Amino acid sequence: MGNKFQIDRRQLVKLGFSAGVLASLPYAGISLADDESDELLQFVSDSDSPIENSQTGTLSQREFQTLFTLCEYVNDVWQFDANLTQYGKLLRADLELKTTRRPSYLVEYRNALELIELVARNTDSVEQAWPTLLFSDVAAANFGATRLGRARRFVFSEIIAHQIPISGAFRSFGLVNYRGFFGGPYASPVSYRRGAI
Amino acid sequence: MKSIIIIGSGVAGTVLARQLLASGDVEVTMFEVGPEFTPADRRIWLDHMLGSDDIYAPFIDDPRTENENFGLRRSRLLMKGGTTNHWGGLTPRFKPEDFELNSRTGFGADWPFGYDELAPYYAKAEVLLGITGDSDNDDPPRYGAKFPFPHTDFTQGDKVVIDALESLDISYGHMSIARNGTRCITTGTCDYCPVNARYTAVYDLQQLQVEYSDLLTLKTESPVTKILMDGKTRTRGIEFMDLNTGIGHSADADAVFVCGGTIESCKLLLASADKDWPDGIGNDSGHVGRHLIGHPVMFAAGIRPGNPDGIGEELGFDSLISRHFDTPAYQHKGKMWFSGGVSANASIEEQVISNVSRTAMNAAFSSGLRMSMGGEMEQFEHPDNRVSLGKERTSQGLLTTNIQVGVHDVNLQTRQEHVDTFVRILKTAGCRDASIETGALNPDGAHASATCRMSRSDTDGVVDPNLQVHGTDNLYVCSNAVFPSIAAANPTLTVSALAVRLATHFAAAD
Ligand SMILES: Cc1cc2nc3c(=O)[nH]c(=O)nc-3n(C[C@H](O)[C@H](O)[C@H](O)COP(=O)(O)OP(=O)(O)OC[C@H]3O[C@@H](n4cnc5c(N)ncnc54)[C@H](O)[C@@H]3O)c2cc1C
Ligand code: SF4
Repeated sequence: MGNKFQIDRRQLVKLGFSAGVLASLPYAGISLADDESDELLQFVSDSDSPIENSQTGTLSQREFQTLFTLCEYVNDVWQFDANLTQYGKLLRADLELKTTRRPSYLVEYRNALELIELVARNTDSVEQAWPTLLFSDVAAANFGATRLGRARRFVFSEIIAHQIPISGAFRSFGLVNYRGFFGGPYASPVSYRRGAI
Repeated sequence: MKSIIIIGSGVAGTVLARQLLASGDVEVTMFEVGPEFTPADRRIWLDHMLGSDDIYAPFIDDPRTENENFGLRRSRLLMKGGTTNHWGGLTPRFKPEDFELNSRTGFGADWPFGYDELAPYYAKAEVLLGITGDSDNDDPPRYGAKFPFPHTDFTQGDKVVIDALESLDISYGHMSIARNGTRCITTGTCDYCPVNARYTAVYDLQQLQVEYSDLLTLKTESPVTKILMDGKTRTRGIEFMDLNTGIGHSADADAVFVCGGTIESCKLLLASADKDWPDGIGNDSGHVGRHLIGHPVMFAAGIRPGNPDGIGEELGFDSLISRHFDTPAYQHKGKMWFSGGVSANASIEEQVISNVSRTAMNAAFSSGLRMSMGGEMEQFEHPDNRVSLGKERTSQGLLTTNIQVGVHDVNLQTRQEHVDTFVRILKTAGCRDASIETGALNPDGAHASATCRMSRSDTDGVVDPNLQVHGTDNLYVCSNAVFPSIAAANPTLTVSALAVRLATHFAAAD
């Protein structure tokens, strides 16, 4: 029997298989403005770890609020309709762990904050900067090592990956539990949907 | 008071330490090659959950330790608590026929005792590991023993699989799995549990260090390099290296228990050759390192069109098992257990990050359900299979590993049959033919077994039925390495039961 696809045993622990994402792109074709490109595509590092990760500290409330506009944007555009008030407190506490413990993400977060400010200068609001920050098409060969590439990887993607389970965004698909959500004891009838046998 | 050395802080060493400390007048020093590690830490959990860090990468084998037919990388972990840090926690018992492989099939070897001998220790191990399971399922017989936690209910996704199994007359049941029913909050990030609900030796050991702070010492980053013998039969202790200083030391003991996992346990016996044991301790008949076996893995997945009920994966661990092909009737071909379930094509966060619109996500979600089946089968040993010592030392201070592995023809043939069964189930469930993908993996270090196999006589194996190295008085091996055969079931409940049995024997012999 041929091995049609590569998989390792750790993945098999969940016996899950990931296929490619095939769907339409609502923001196809966004490009960076000329005055943004140089800054956003500046080379930073191709390290797989957050840079200067021994530098610890706490984000100011204003810095946090700026990052949090990402969650508001995602919640609105994808119609997740999650209550973000409680979620904001959880995210704040978790970002604190990411910046006060090593490897610290503080410098990556501050890089992302500068980029948000930069792009927002060309839009009416921070909210309107998000499509550019998240989805602009960039052809740079070493994109992952640039300021924007790193912000997408270390900051924006991680915040979204946090938001979907922990804010309860997944519920808008009718699911009652989701990887990363604290669904409650398995004996509880509300922790996951049972199959009627 | 007896001084005991345990080599390896995995589940075998930890369960053994707990039982020895509870039952006797002993003090235990445990040596572990890997570093400290903290379970249920929110920051580590975040890094794992968000996919930002491969949290176990620092603990995998040195790259020089590798073999393409029997991979070690990404299987065992060299760290406090060992490999259960990333195990699945599936804990089926072996079945009565598994202890009689050779008599029934002519392959491999029989165990020196039967299922009934191990049954009471299985029950104790199920309590120690905090297993959830179906106490009414008597295949294999439970003799009235209750699991500490009741089984989980089947999920909606299980129901899709179950409907197909029922129409094919394939039996199924509830998975027994190490998920503590009072702690588990169904987070589904079980490779690193935020609340210590999945059994891990690292958490068990952490508790043990508190309970027996004056009697248990753990030395991490301290690979044991040699077992020291005083004449042919008595061990007097070990030699180890302090990885932080690079300096070698020795430590004395009244008894030594080797719990380094299947690969390292046999290597340590081989590396301890001396004038009385020129080929390695316990190796006068040449069985140390031989008979290596693991579990070939088979899988298949497909898309079932339509998902009107919006079924998704809501319980992050297996709740269904079929042991329909794990019976005496299949033993001569290679028995198998399997599980199945549903999963999303792509996670919601992946789709948002990839800029998939909500409309497209809704359409994808309701258009089909990805079903997957996966199982493990018994491997028969191939005469070539063996582990031997390399010449260099890894960065972890261990000698590199040479592995020679052949695949048994019977296994190759049967594994295709099992994959065909998965395909039949998927098709019966309604998966489109064109969507079905299949595959199989050779065994790897995850369930590696049998390199220090148990036997009644020293001509057939390495340890006796009480896990004492043949020809020695106070040296034991407790590991999957002592299994004479591997069955289809996952090994860890069985090695835990053996650890409880060994501690009971040791205390009684005192
Ligand atoms: C991905 C994965 C999933 C798995 N899932 C399951 C499952 O669902 N069910 C199941 O039953 N089993 C499962 N297993 C197998 C299970 O993890 C092992 O059976 C179990 O961990 C073996 O325990 P052990 O204590 O014998 O060895 P280990 O857990 O490997 O511990 C041995 C320890 O000894 C240390 N050591 C080795 N040599 C030395 C030395 N010379 N000096 C000092 N220390 C040393 C090692 O660093 C290690 O920490 C899985 C394995 C993997 C890889
Ligand atoms: S599902 Fe249970 S065992 Fe798994 S991570 Fe969540 S709490 Fe831990």
